[in-house]
Order: sequence, then C-alpha cells, then structure tokens
Amino acid sequence: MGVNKQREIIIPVVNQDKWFSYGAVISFMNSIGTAWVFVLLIIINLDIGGRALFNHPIRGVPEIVAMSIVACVFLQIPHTLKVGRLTRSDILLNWLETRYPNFKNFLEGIYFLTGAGLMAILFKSSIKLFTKAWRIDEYVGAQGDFMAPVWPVKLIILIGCAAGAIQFILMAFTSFKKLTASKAIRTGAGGED
Amino acid sequence: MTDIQVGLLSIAGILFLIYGGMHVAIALMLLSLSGVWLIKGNWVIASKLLALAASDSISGYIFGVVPLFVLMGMLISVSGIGKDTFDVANRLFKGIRGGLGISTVAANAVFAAVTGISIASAAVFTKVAVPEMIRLGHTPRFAVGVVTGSSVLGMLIPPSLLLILFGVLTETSIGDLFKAGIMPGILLSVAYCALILFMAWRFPDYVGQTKKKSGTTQVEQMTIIQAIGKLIPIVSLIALVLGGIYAGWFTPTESGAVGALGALLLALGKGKLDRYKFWQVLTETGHVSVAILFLLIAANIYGRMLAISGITGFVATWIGGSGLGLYAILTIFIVVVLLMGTILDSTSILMIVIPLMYPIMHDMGVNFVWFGIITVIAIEIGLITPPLGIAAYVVKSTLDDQSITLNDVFAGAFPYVLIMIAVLILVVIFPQISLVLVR
Repeated sequence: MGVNKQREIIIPVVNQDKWFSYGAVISFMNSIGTAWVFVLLIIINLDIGGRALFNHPIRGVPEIVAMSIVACVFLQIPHTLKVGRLTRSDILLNWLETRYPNFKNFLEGIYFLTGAGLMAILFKSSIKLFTKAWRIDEYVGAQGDFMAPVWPVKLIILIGCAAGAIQFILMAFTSFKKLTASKAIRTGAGGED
Repeated sequence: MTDIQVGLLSIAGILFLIYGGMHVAIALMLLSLSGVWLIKGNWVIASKLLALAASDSISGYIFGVVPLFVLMGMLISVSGIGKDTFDVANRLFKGIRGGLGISTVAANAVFAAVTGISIASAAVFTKVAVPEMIRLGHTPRFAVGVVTGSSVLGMLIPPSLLLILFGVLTETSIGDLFKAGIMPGILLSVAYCALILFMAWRFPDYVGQTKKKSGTTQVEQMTIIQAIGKLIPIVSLIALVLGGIYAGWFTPTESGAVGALGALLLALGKGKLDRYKFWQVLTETGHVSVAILFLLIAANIYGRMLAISGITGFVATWIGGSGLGLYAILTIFIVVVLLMGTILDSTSILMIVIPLMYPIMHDMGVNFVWFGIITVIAIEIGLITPPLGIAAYVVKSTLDDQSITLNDVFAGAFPYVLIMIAVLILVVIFPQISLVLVR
C-alpha cells in the first residue's frame, strides 16, 4: 500500500520539458533581457567611438540605457526567482530541512505566497503608470532631438510583475505539495507498522 | 503607535524575516509598504510609492554600470587572465619562503583592478593557485586561506560593485570612491604579504614545507619577455578602464561598457569563449545584476519609509544628545555591520544599513568617500567569516579536492580577518589613506 501511494505522488512531478510550458515562457523573457545587455554594451561603445573618432555621438544613448535597465530587470525577475538566484539567507531554511522538513516546506510556501501577493500589489499599482504613459503619450528625451515613448517600459514592468507573481505561486504550490506528500508517506508508512 | 515606533517595528520585522529566510527584497518591500500604510493611514499613497520605486528608482544611465561591470568580471574570469597573472607573480616571488602565497595576493590585487566582484576572484584563484600551492607542499588550510582572504581585494580595489552601489545609494561620486579604494587596497595587500612572511617564518608547520626540487617547469623558466607578454592584456585593460575614469574620458557607465568589450575581445582572442560559453556568461550576468537591481528598488521604498517615519531624525537627535563622538558611532556602526555580515550577503547589508545611516552621517558632516571605504571594508569582512561567508562558500564549491572542508576554509581565512580589522582601524584613524588620491 505504502509503495503505491508513493508512486502516485511521484508521477505528477514528471511533466517538465514540454515544448511549451510556463518555464519556457519565462526562460524566453530571460533570454531577451540577457541579449539586451549585450546590445547596450554595443551601443554604448558605438556612442563612445562615434564621439571620439567622428565627433558625433549617437543620440539618446543615455535615455535608452536608463529605460533598458528597468525593462531588463523586470524581464528577468521571474527566471532569476525560478533558478533561486534572488537574494536570500538560507541558513535557517537549510537547518530546518534536515531537522523539520515539513516546517521548512510550510514556511517556504508562506514566503512564496507573500512574494506573490507583493508582486500582485506592485502589478495593480503600476497599471495606473502604464495607462497614464499610454494616454498622454509620455516620452523621454527632448523634442526635435531624440524621443522615445515610455509606455513599453511600463508595460514590461506589468508583464514582469505578473510573471513573477505566477512564478511565486507555482513555487508555493510545489512547497505545499511536498508538505502534503511527505505527510501522506508518513501516514502510509505508519499504517504498515 | 507613533510614526517612529512603526518605523522601528518595520526594521525589526525586516531583520526577522530576512534571517528567517524570506527573499531580502520581498521582506524590505513588504514591511516598508505596510509601514508607510500605517503611518499615512492611506493605502493608495503607500502602494503608489511602491509603484514609483519600481519604475523610477533604477531608471538612470548610472545603473548601467551594474550589469556592465558584472559582465566584465565574468568575462575576465573565463578568459584565463587570472592564471597568466598568477604565473608572472609566481616567477617574481620565486625562492621566497611563502612566495606562492605572496604571488596569490599580488595576482589577486592586479586581478581586482579589472573585476568588481569578489566571488569572481575567489573562483578563479581557487582553480589556479590552490592546486599549485598544494603541489609544492603547502598545507591545504594555508592554501585556501590565502585565496579566500585575498579574494576580498576584488571589491576594494576599483572597479568595485560595492563602491558603485554605495555611490548610487548616497549620491557620492563613483569616480571619487574608486580613487579612494586604491590605497587601502594596496595597504591591505601589503599587510597580507607581511602576514604570510611572518607565518612562514614563525609557523612553518602551519604553512607547510615547500619542496625545493623543481626548476624545470615552464613557469620557473619564464623569461622577461614572456612575462611582459602575459601582463600586457591585463595592464592595458586596467589602463583603459581605470585610466579612462581618472582622466575623465569616460563616465563610470561608459568605462563599464569599454571594459566589458575589452574583456570580451581578450577572452575571444585567447580562444576561451565559444557561443555556448558566452551565452552562459551573459545569463549569469543577468541573474547577478537582476538580484542586485531588484534589491535597489526595494532599498528605495525602504529609504522612503525611513524618511516618512522620521526615524533617522530621531536617531540623529538621540546621538546628538547622547554626547557620543564620531568614533564611538563609527565603532557601533562597524560592529553592527560585522554582526550582520555573519549571516547576510554584502549587497543586502549595504541596502539595509546605508539608508538608515546616510542622514545621520550627513548631519555630522562626514566625508562620504571615506565613509564609503570604511563601510565596504567592514562589509567585506563578513564575506570571509562564518557562518555565511560567500567567498568561503565559493572557494569550497570550486575546489576539486573534496577532502578540504568548509571548516578549513574558514579557519585558513581567519588570520586575514584579523588583518582586515587592523587595516579597517587604520583607515578610520587616518582618513588620508583613502582620501590622498581624491581630488
């Protein structure tokens, strides 16, 4: 009996590596951000080169860089979160994992849900910034020189927040599932005794 | 509850949650948001502050320095330049007792001038220097100790990610901070070398017997021309990046871009970079930068919460009334940073402590370039002290020899912790050490 129960629990975990999954979406977002940093590297150097060699800087590079940094961060937050690179101190959690694994999963689940809630709040409060930028045609730069609309960046912030919230929820789900799974195993084993 | 009580509770809650293992940025944002909400009694204002922090606080040309310098550091570490520098230093200090240790420190100091992250230094020199030291008969504990201890030079000698972040948080000139990091960095390197010579002389058993057999390896027969050839790439990169900032040709962001391009060309030129590896480096850069920049957003809303609660003004008045002098306050500050360093990573400490200390130090008329160097050295000590010393973890995880324990790494690094504290005290007492190059 106990063996059957364990098998049931393991099966649902093995549905990764599909060609289309949430992981693929945020991985794609991450790649855009990654490539973007390289583009910044190139245009800043072109700007310097243009200024030094031809006395002709590229217009709007500082503005583009400023906007890009925000965009890159929000494109990459979900994936950074997923691979566990978002800064946190894991000493207590690691210690709990060896002693009280259930409590560790429970606590982690709560943290992830909190993160999801916060990303949702950030999403909701950022909507206004996006609609405003869209409505009044907000732009950076100076008229007649270099101008770029602001709304795409605000939109990327929204996408990043939404994707981050979903990623947090998925991680919370995994933690809670581990919690119930280990409980099931324990009660199953207990029955055999 | 008064505003100040709300503020104090928020700080306590933030520390509690961070130690409990919540993501640092989430803990900072969550309690700052609720703090502002409680003080203002208005949810709309609180959530709007959060949205503004997210969209505006890192939207600036200057924030381009973070990914660019991180990228430069990552490219440099895969380029194999660390090994070349170590080889040359090795040839230079051949025949001195503890010479390999000194070579490691010297190579680290030079390497630090092209990389701004200590983890890069720790990873590179664990691969390059530790096997060589053990091969020649040094004890593993001594070998990993030297590498861990000297990896902190990466963040002190410019370019330095921590100095950049300090400059951004306090609106201090990053160029000035970079200039101020040079002398303390050199002082620390020299002090490390002195320590190694002393240990080799007084505690030869701890350092290990150096085998005097060879004389045939390639490194030991290196000619001057070969040595110069190995040094040219790194020296020209240093000249380009740091020289460019000092001469005023580049802004820090531009020097980051130039440096990253230079590092890219070097890595390509040395044939160490294929398409796959380059993408890996870029992805890694993205993750490191995002973690830092997201923390900066969180630190922004936290700073606003502190300002709104009036807590910094309260602490400043309390300090004014307590009759404590600058040194007493700095001592308390450094002890707090050291304690936080035992469990938190360096960026997080900076983000939590600096918004709180900035107004206080500002009121006291402290020179922020000097204060920045003190802060960074104090934070860096935490990199190599247990239980959470990031540099020590990196060294341990990069080691091929799994018989060397994390305990060995921390124990080996301990003498260098003492030296760092001594250098920190010197920099506090003699501000000239850091400020002499700043004009």
